Amino acid sequence: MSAATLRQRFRRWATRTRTPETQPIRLPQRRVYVLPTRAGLALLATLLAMLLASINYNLSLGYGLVFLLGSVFIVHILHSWRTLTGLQLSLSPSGEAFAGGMAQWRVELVNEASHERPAVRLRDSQGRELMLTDVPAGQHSEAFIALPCSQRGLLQPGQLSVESTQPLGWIRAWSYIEPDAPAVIYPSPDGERPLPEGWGDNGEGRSRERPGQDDFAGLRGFQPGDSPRQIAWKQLAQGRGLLTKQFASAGSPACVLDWNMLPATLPLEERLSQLARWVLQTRHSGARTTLLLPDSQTGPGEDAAHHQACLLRLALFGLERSR
Amino acid sequence: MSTRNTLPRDTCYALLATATLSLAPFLPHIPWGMGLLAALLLAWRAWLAHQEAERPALTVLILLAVLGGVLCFAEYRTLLGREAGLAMLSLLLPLKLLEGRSPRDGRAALLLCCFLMTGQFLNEQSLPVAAMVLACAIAILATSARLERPALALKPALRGSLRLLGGAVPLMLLLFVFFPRIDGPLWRLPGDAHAGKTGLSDSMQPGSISELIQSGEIAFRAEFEGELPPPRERYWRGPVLTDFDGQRWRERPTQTAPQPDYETSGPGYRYTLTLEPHDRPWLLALDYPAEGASDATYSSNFSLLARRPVSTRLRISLHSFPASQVGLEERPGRLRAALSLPEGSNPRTVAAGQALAAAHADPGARVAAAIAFMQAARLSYTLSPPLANTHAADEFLFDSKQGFCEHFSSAFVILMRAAGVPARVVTGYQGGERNPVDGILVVRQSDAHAWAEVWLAGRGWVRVDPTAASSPARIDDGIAQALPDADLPMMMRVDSDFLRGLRHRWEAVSNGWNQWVLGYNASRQLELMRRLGLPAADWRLLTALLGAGAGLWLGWLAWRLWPRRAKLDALDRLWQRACRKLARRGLQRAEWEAPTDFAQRAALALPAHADTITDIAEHYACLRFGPTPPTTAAIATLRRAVHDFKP
Repeated sequence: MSAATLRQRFRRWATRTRTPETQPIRLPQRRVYVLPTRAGLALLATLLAMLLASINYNLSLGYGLVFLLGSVFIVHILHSWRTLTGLQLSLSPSGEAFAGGMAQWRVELVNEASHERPAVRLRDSQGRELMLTDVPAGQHSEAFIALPCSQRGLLQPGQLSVESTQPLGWIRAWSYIEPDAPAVIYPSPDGERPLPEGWGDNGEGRSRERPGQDDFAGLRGFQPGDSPRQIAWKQLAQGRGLLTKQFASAGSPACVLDWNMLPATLPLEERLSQLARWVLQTRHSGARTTLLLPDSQTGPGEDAAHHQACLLRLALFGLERSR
Repeated sequence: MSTRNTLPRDTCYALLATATLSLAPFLPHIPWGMGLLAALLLAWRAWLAHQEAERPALTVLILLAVLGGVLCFAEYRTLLGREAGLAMLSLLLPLKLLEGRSPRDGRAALLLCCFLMTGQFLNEQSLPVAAMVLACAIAILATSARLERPALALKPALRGSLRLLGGAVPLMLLLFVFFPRIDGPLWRLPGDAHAGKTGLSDSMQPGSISELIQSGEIAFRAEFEGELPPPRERYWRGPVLTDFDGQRWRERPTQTAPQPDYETSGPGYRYTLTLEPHDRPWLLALDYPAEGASDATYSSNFSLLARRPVSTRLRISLHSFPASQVGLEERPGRLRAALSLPEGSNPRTVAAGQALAAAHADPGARVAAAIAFMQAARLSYTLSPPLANTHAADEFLFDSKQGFCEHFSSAFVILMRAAGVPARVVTGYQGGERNPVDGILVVRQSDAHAWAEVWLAGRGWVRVDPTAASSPARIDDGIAQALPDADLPMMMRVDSDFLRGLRHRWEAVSNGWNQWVLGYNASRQLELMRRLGLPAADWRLLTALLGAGAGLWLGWLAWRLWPRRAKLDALDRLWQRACRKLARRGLQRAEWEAPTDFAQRAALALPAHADTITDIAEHYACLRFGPTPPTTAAIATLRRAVHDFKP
């Protein structure tokens, strides 16, 4: 059995619970492992050489020094181990992620203990460092990790290792977690096709040049995702805060992003990529759209939630059924 | 491993400080050129760190290393061996610091520091050195912590290291006491392992002992069981010098035997000697040791010899009988050797000796007459006699009349040999000072002495101390009384009682340190185990004891360090109590459930208590999340409610 498979087996055994795990994940003492780091092994080798020299030259203080550093090494094990034991973690997806880019998670670390947990690291299964943060005694701290995502759909962060080499870096304490925190990966926006025929002249053109002048319906509070075009700059200047202009949408024709508009020869993923690109384009311009997929219709709508719903449809298209 | 590949400036300073701390004690021991180079390299590194400049080119560093090697070779004629190796290491450390820029390089430098400290113990293992090394160990731990976490400030780093040390010290003591000790060496010591020790030598010429006397260093300590012998019987025998070439006295080859060739008689003294290493075989026993000394041989001139040169501090238990008669049946060859004088040396002394022989037929009377002759000559005892020429004894007895114990003994022996009485010079130590703090007799290099022995038929070898005859204070009260103050090192002077008291106290502490810390070896370990009631302690038992002790301590430490939840405040404790009461009824609050949400659920499940539950939850939520901090009265109301709540 190769070392790699052994390691794989150990990792699987080490997680031990039903995976992916429900959050928050609290690291129990039995799931925290400790082993010397390379620096620790080098120290042990040096101590052995010092011990041999002390025996040979009858250096009582040499024994003393070796024993002192060796004892610190042993006590270090306890300190490393307690840096992780009882730490509580939860991951939640954060921000938008498109296939081929990076998906981001927010990691919340909760330290209920009365001691600090310094320099806690997260690594992915390949051992790349994802984050490094300190968690003060009795407090929360948060950090962000990003993992590459190649495919649209749902992506779990997979098996991660939480580790700490505090306080001296001689001993590494670590634990494996596999949190249930799927991130939605949208199809990568791609494709050179222009927005659907007829809309570009009437719909987009109109909304771009005369953005619903006649149909102004009122103001509402700004929401993240609102197009900058719709921001009520005048009111902002008057000190009334960030507001978004709303337009009576009944009159404005919705742009229909139709699955069937694309040539039948186009492969599935490319088709979804093209649709995703269109959704992003219309989101950018703040236009009203409807997304038509073979199994669903989304919209019409023009706000952030609508565009998000469209992207979600595209991300999960064809995946939910196969589940 | 870390992804950072440069060292922040503060970490560089910490590394430099640690390296300086571990190098400083070395500088006096290595050639000054190498010491200067090491210091300059450290300063250069500090300047580079200050400027945040790049490290110097590798070729420059290699050239510097070669320069160091040349300096080392010029001094020691080798790059290996103990002293040369340590000198090279102490140059390698600053070079490593100059070359390194990653945390890993920093760690390598720290390991070098650890190794250098072990090397430092080869030079000295006194209490101050131990304190220095402890400081250095703390610095190494703190610097390791900062390498691991560069944002850590100096104070928390030191505090963290001290906390680690606090947990480690009991474990270290257990290891020190119970770790099965092996007496070295595991491999042959390089020739220079014990270079430059002070002590007696196997020859004597004018000036050789007075040089030794300048040193206040301790030669050995004697711990007597019961009474100490009176000062005039405290003669500690070293080399016996029979051969004389006109200038220099030398040892004559002797036979050794596993037991003495004399019968002991008179009062005996039991004592334990702790000898400082002097790299010579003689054990400096009090005259005359009885048989039974372990690992020692008895030479035919009554010296006790170790089987190997005393190269480490040595403890030996002895039993001596100062009043024994020795050498009653001496071999003619030895007596002949004890009568020979080189042709034409010291003619005036020889003439005086012959005159004594003519005046007295009995050898015993000749000895008494010689002492009387020397007393009549009004010789004075001084540490700085005038320089002698060819006939040292003549000049001492008839011209300058100033001399030290080697002059007295040498002149007396020449006088006796000329008078036909076999005589020889004995060197060793005379006297010693009782430390009032621990009652141990301390004998220093300044107690080095030379006296004479004459052989008389029927009485054997008899000790005659011509110095005592001329300057009795030397023997009864020690050297400090016999010499004018100006001749003595400051700490030896009698009038400074305060300094003397300090010195006594310090030496008592050092003796405890030497006996119990530095001298703790395999036999001491066995002795300690016997005292603890474990007569048959072998390495298995020791390991078991060690494991048990370490397990207990680590268990306690783990219990102390076990992650504990931060203490809840009074309000949260009350809420937890209420939740526990509900949990007993099968209503478990989920982590994510807000107090009011949970209360709603609980109220539905336990309609009889719905009001109380809602009341407690709302009260708690109001106090906990309300805009003002909870008052004591409000908490007390809640406490009453929770207390009375019986679902």
